[in-house]
Amino acid sequence: MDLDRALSISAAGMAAQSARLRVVAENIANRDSTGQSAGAEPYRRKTITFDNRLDRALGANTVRVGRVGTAPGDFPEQFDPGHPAADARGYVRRPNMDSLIETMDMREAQRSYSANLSVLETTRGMLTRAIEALR
Amino acid sequence: MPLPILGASLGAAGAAAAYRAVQGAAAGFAAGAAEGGFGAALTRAAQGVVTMQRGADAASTQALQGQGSVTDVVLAVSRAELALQTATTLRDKMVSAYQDVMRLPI
Repeated sequence: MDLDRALSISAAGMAAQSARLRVVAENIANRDSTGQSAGAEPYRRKTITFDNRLDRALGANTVRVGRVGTAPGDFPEQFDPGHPAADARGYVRRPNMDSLIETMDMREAQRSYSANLSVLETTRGMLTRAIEALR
Repeated sequence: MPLPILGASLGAAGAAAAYRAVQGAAAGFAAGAAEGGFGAALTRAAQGVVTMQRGADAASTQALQGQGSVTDVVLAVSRAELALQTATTLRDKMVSAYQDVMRLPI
């Protein structure tokens, strides 16, 4: 039944956005995670990709988390000679994440989650209305 | 007056035949329920509702224990709710149909 599939597809979308929010949470939580010793790498920003895959049991394409990877790019440096991770020049490498980007990513995840939830509610409403027509 | 006697005997025979027919129909209905008749369809529908409810229960318990996701709970509970709504609506419809038949003036 198509409406039943729509329910499952929306739920898959919500699960995917939950995973995205988890990655954002990791990035924001680790914004100060530097290395422990001189020359050690700090936290590298994580990225998430989504994939449209066929769910054979459902008989429809649903969205899934494709891969959680790491973002390439240089680490910004900060002068802090007293830090245990400071190199010979006194600079500490900091994570390559930007709070602004993460905040926007979070908002996008929120909006997308809400959109999926709206679809789910509409689908459920349609099913309920159809059942009420029996009465 | 042979006519009323004939009518009475016919009536008795007719009643007996009707009784046998009813008995046969009841037996046939029982057999049909066992094989795949209307009764079996209802039984399957009821079992489907029970299965849905069990799924919703399992998802809710898992979510409360910290495993599983809230999305799964929403989905399972929605499905169970819809199945129960369908079952109760169909039941109401059937009961009202039965009552309509019982209220038929004979």
